[in-house]
Formats: sequence, structure tokens, C-alpha cells
Amino acid sequence: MKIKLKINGIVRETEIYPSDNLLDVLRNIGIKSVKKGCDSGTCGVCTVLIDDTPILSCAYPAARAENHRITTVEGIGREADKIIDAIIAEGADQCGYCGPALVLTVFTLKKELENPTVDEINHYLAGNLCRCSGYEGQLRGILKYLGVSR
Amino acid sequence: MKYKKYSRVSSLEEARKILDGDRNSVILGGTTFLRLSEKEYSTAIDLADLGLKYIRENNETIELGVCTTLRDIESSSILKEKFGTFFADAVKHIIGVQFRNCATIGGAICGRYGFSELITALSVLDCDLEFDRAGKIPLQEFVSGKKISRDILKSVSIRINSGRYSYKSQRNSDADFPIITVAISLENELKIAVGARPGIAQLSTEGVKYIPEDMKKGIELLQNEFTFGSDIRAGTDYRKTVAGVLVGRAVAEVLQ
Repeated sequence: MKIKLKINGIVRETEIYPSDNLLDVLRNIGIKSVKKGCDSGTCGVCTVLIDDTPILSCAYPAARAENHRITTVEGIGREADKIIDAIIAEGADQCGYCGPALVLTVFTLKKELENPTVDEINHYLAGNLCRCSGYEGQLRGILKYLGVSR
Repeated sequence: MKYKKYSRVSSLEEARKILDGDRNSVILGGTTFLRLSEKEYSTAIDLADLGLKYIRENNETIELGVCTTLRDIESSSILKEKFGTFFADAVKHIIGVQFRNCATIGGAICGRYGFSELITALSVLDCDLEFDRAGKIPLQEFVSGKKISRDILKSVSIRINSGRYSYKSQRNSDADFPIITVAISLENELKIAVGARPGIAQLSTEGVKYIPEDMKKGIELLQNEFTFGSDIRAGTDYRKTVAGVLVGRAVAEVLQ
């Protein structure tokens, strides 16, 4: 079936199998910042925003995304740079595989939670797994970006 | 899960027509298990455009549309006002925010999963399910195995009673499936549900009679009235012991 997806403001038409998930479709059309990790709805590296809400693209039918706004890390512009720079400054970028998804989740966290506590930040980011950093460095960078002190 | 045709219906009638005409069709829920199931269907029916994603307060009930996500439930001010952190406690450990933005109350209930934390929580409330054809069915009937065939769950309604509520769960690591879940409500009477044993949540009928007056006897009876099982996450004895501990803590919380 043919569907139209609005990705980062640009409408793209693509041919999919009806049960294809959004992750595979995005990667097939060349958006490689959306990563494939566990591919079973657990690790969070496939996070994208649907109408500004973070979802797991591996657990989201591509056909369902039609008529919605899809945002990947490329779509949040300078804010992505600010978040990743704060994480890099703490030496916590490491392999970078989980980076785009983490950046998107931090981006929505900032919009969704007003004056978050460290516990609330940790809870919000619990669905973003990272096998390199041990989380502490990432958290330091994210706290700096959000202007939150412990 | 695979399907040959995707149909985003614009009315319940349209969904009903597909269900009736195609025995191998399926209604999509939150699709969080899309990659975990090997089943193949001819048509997937998506209810996403039917406006069934809502939480609203009526006179005596709170009604949740079938497409309401677990994250909606976690952050609902209506539910928080009536039930405190009870619902947030029941869903907040389910994977992560992104997962809970996908998973729906309809999927959590219709799957009748043993690990369903939402079913455990709803079991201690006065809760009805509204089906397209079968009409209103108490959650307990559905959970107990009432056969509902080729029907569409539209909404879930919870009667608003004044009470105290507590939800406890234990898991091996954050975001893993729970190894035991306990929900307690104290409205006109005390209700205790234990789920993830690993079977689906059930209400206590024996132990609850002695709680809180004789906690030791009540918990012993409760531990023996349910079937606890063993799986990759926990053994039978461990589950039974933890259930007793969590019931004790939850009772203490509602009596505070």
C-alpha cells in the first residue's frame, strides 16, 4: 500500500507492506538517525515524535502515522545541538547509538515537565537504555541543559 | 504480527462490518507487541480515528475511551484527584514513557495478560467494560473468562466512590514485567487483588475476611487461596512470600 508520511515537515510518499512498522519504513527511506535496537519495544533507541509525543517507532504501525507529524532528531534543529553538546561536555556520548532517541526524549521532557526534580527526570528517561555511559554522565549533562541542580 | 490489509475505520459500524465479514481480522490496540507476535491476520482494524482517546468525569463515573494510553492514565488530573497516585503507581514502571504513549487501556484489558498491572488495579474498583454488542460487562466477569466473541471494547467506566487505595508491585529490575502485583481498595469494604502470580489478577475472597483484624491469618489464607506459579522471573514460593509482604504494606497504607 502507498502512504504519505509527513517527516520533519516534508511529505514523503512511500510504498509499504500494511504491517510494516514505522522504524523500518523510516530507515528504508534513508532516515538512519532512527536506530534499530531491541526491535521489541523495550530499549527506546527507535524513539520518534508523533505530533510532539515520544513513541517507539518499532511498536508503531507505519500506516497509523499517516496524517500525523513525525519528528526525528533532525527536525528539532538547534535544540538537538544544545542537548547533545551538554551530554558531550560530560564525556557521556560514548558510542552515540542511543543519542538521537535520548535527545528527542529530553526535548519532550523539557516541554512536558515544569521544574522537574532529578527523580522525575530519571523516571521520564527510564525508557532510554544506554549500554556505554552508565547514565551518570548523561544525567549530569541533561541536568545542566535543563538548568536543574541536584 | 503481520496483516495483509490495514483499515483505519471511520466508524464503529465500519469496524463491525469488517469483523463480521472477515473472521481473520483483528482490532489493533496500542501495537506494543507488534514485533513479538508471529500471528498473521488478513485485516488489521485501527480505531485510532474514532475519538476513543479520552478520560472524562460523568456524574458518578470516570469513563476512559478504549484508545486512552497508559501515559494518559499516568498523568490524568481527573484520576489523580479521585484516586491519588493509585493509577500512576500501577503503570509508571511499564517500560518507559515512549512505550506508555503507545500502549492503550484497551490492549491491556483485552489481552487478559497475567502481568497486566492495569487489570490488577481495576479489579479492586467498581469497573465496567462497555462493548459494542455485548453492552456493559463488569470487569470481573471478563477477567474471569467470560467469552466475548468478535466484539469491540469501546470504553471502561469506573464508579467514583470515596475510598483509599494502594498499589504495590515487585519486579527484578525497573521496566521489567512484574513478578507480583497487589492492589487494595477500601471503599465500603476492603478489596484485595493479586496479579502477575503469573496468572491474571484475582480478588481475594478468603484472606480478605480476616484483614486487617487478624493480619497473620488473613495473609496466610490469601497466600493459599491463589495459585502461584514459577517462571523465568520468579519461583512459586518467592511470589507467595512477596505477595504477603506487599499486601501487608498496602493494607498499612490504606489504613494510615
